[in-house]
Amino acid sequence: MAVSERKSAMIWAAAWFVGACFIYFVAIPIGIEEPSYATQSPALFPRVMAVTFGTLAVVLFVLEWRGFHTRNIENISPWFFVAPAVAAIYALLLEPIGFLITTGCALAALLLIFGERRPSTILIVSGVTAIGVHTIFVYLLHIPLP
Amino acid sequence: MLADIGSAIALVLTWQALLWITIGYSLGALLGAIPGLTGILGIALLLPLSFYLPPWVAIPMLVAIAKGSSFGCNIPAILLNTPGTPAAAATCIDGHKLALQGKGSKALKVNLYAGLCGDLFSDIVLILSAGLLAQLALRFGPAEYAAIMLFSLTVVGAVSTGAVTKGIMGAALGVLLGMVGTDMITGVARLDFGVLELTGGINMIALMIGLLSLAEIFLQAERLLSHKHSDGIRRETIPQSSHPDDSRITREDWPLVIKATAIGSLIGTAIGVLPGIGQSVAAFVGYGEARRFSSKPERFGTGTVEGVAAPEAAASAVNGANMIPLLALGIPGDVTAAVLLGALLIQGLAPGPLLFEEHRVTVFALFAGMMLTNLIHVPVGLLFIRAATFITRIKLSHMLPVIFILCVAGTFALNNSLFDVFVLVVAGFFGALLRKGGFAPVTIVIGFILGPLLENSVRQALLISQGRYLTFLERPISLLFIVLTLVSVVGSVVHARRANRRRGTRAESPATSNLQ
Repeated sequence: MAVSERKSAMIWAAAWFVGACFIYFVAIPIGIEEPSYATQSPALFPRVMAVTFGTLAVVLFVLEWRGFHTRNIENISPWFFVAPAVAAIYALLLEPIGFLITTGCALAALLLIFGERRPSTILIVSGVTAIGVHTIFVYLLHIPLP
Repeated sequence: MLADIGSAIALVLTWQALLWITIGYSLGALLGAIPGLTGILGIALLLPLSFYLPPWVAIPMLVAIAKGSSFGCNIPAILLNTPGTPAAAATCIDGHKLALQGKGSKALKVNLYAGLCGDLFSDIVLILSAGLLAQLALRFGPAEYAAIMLFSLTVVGAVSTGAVTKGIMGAALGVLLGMVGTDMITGVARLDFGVLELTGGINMIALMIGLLSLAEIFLQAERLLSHKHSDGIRRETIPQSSHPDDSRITREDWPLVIKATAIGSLIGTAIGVLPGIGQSVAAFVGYGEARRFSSKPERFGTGTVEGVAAPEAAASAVNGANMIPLLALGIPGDVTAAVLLGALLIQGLAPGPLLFEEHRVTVFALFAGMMLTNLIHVPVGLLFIRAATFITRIKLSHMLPVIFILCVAGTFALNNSLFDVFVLVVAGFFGALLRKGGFAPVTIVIGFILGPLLENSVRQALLISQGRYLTFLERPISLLFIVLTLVSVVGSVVHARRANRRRGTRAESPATSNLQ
């Protein structure tokens, strides 16, 4: 279903406002303890930022409602989540499987996503990059990798 | 005095000094060009070697690594929108836009010459007035630092072209993210929710690379998968223009570059003298001020040479100016200077007022070595630019996955922590989401860098003044920067209103449009 750009912008602004409220009423009270010895509360600045964020979200909502475009909004297609999913799986598997194999597989997946279809190119780029990065970091720079 | 200077120059003008300084600069540029790796790593690698070198070779070599890194980190920033360090994030704004227009070589050359001028200017200021400026730096207390940070935040308006509300929201979100971790004043945990890895806060480089570089990779992936391209053309490689004017600095560009470089050099030197502020703040403030003083500020953000020259000149100028509090007072301005302090002590040179008296020739030799680094900057830099333009011939479909892996490896290398990699991926996802919502993630980076500095300075100032907010207005330097902040904010609002009236941006009616 098509959603107008104006409505998309208003939904975004509403979402930001809800996020700001969550930060102010939930995250800060749970996440910051207020010691009795402190003359200034460590929660003061985070509260100020949350209020600023929420207020500006309301301003954005009103601006869009009244027809002032703030910036172009792009719709999110299902394909948006593919690359982040590959990246997340790669990060999770880095330690259990190891850098070389995980990196080779992740590179192959990303090359396929970016449109490369030749198996030889995928194998060469994945293999050379994984081995090359591993060699540079571990043997030249002495930085251990998973 | 002249005899001492002559002796110092004779010490430095040797093949040994030239070789090691060139190696240091090249290593710094190479490391700076890999996201996540910085000049600090290069300094750490060559620090043991410095034991065996005389101080007038060892210290300039280590400074050359920092200068090389300052240059190298802008190469991926310009060509790939992947800043090597937080300071390079300011160069991304216009530098990458120039690269997308096929003017990557021009942008890299502007970056090179602006960096050289920034370095030269601050080195000359260091040589001529180190002691005097160091005494001036001592007058800056928490109130003054707070006022400077507040003024620096006005740069958000400069980078939020057309959407200042969202820019301020992004900065507020960045400030909030910067508060995660242990509170510096009270020692309590804030917003870490018991996660041990968040005790020290969110890793800045992981966040920055995620928001700027990984977000771009994710968005490119979505466009390629859904066969949509913002410019309507399937872009196989980074555009490379065949017009000769697009790969060099033209006669029309030079006045703009010179003006922006001058502004950046002054700002970078002034900020570098103050310990604890750093290159990233200088780069963003330099960008903002160059835009303020530009005859066509609306061009910033669309790919202008001024937007590349100013932040690079400012960031480079910090290198030399940082040495002022280090040599004169023994106060390191940033992490690089702290490592250099260690190197100086290893060489038997204790920084402080007596250094200039007891080791006069050695200090002059250090200065001469730093000037020699500037001489090497251009030929080595041009070689790197030539090598970097090779990147423009590589298909994006091959290069972006490789950049992703380098970002992950470089982020992991920071603290040997997989948690930083998770931060990188999450930041990349949210950065892409924010760009969908019309936000500029660079405003979050600005807030993240400046917010904690601002908060700590304000709270320290209030503690010293026993809770009196008037302290910010009673101290003249602090009052000056607060007035400048107000002038800047009012000026931005007036300018934006005039621009809106000229463009007539009010929508006729809330038309329904299908973006699919």
